[in-house]
Amino acid sequence: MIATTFSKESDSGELRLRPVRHRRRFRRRACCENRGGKWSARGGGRRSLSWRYLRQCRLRAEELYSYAAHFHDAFEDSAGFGWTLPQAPSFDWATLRDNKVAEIARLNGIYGRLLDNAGVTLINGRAKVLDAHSVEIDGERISAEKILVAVGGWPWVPPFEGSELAISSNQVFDLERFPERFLVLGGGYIAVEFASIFNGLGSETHLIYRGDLFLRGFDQQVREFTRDEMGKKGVNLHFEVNIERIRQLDSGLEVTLTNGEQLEVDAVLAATGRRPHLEGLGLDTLGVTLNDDGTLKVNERFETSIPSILAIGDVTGGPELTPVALAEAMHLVAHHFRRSSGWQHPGGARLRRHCHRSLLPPQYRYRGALRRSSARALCGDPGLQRRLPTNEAHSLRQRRALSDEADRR
Amino acid sequence: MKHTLSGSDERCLMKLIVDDESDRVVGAHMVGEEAGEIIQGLAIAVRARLTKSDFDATVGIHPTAAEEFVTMRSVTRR
Repeated sequence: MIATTFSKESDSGELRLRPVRHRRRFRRRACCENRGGKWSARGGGRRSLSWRYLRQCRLRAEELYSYAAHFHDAFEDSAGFGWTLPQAPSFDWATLRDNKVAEIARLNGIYGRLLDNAGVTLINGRAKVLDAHSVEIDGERISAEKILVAVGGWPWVPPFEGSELAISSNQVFDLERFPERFLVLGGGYIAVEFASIFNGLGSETHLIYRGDLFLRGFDQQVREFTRDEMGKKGVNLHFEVNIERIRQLDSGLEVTLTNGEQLEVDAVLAATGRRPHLEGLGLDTLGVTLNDDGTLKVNERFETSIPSILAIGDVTGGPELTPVALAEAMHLVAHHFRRSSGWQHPGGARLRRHCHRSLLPPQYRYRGALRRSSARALCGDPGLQRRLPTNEAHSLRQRRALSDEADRR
Repeated sequence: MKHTLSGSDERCLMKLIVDDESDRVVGAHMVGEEAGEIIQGLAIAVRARLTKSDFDATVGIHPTAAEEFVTMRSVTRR
């Protein structure tokens, strides 16, 4: 037998940088950050980077806060193993927040250097697409053979009285003071993660969801199990109810629910989804075709209705997950900038079968190989099975990508 | 196992979904400690279209929670 070994030693959390390496294939490249100062202030970096990397930073931050929440139970559990703590452990929000800011700044530095080394010109400013081949950034016109839109999504908060008092997951990590009383609006996995994290950090936590059970689209048993376990951990779950209004009081925020119940909390996090971040990009005036949900419509080569304008990631809809966006980036580069390969994208732009992860209750993480489509539907719908990416070329491609990477090391 | 000494009432859920006809494992779920670390390997198995008998024939890594995925003998729902 002839065997090839692949191995890797790394900081286990080190982020994938492959798409950046691929950018070397562009003859001239520029990358524009459309959110400017807003992000740099938040991320703590010296300068702002593209949305894609900051999004990864947000995920990194979430992971760090999840780790922080884990300690709560570790301290408690240790007693049964013979450990005694000299005094009850206490948690300092500012330490976690500031250490996180430093870590994100470090990552920003790494990404900045990667872009520099790859020969990418970073332009900070708001971009507006003028036509199929040009973009305007703060009055300067730049033209390109291809324009890639990878702006992602932006938090959406449902309209209700005082909704401006709610924060989104963009702000939650940087709160000035630790919210002793924390309320999350929403029933998706982001909402469940944040409720679990803040409960673990010691907040009195409430989760408000309009449906009868959170994590819609997940396996029913997983949903019920998670509900029960979170309840045991002390998260106050309020289902089939919504927020009527929020009022600012001196002592906090007064939240009135649609069933008349009132809660007083220190922070309200609206984890009610993200919408494609297309505002001001000018794509609407160009007449780029959108999907029904307002995301950019792309074909299997990630081309919008204007073929020189490409789009990947959350802005194109589908599973809003970093690994999916990363895979799309690699596929895009392979298709548009590596013409020799003759590779075809398996199953269009959507990578349907993926490993889905969530930082559920601190100790309770969930990964399912199935998402949205229940297992029953998958088994019972041969059409769906056929649509799954099982293309042989795909696996070959992946193997080649791995060996390419090994060669570069 | 940890919770036998910690006294915690935390529980863990692991679940495999198997297609009756082909015996293929079409989905895997886990809610519990280190689920994130465990499920990636299972995702490869699912993608490789492995069957429940492949899972059953795999020797568990003992003592771990992950070995439950290769020692599931009782059907809970059809």
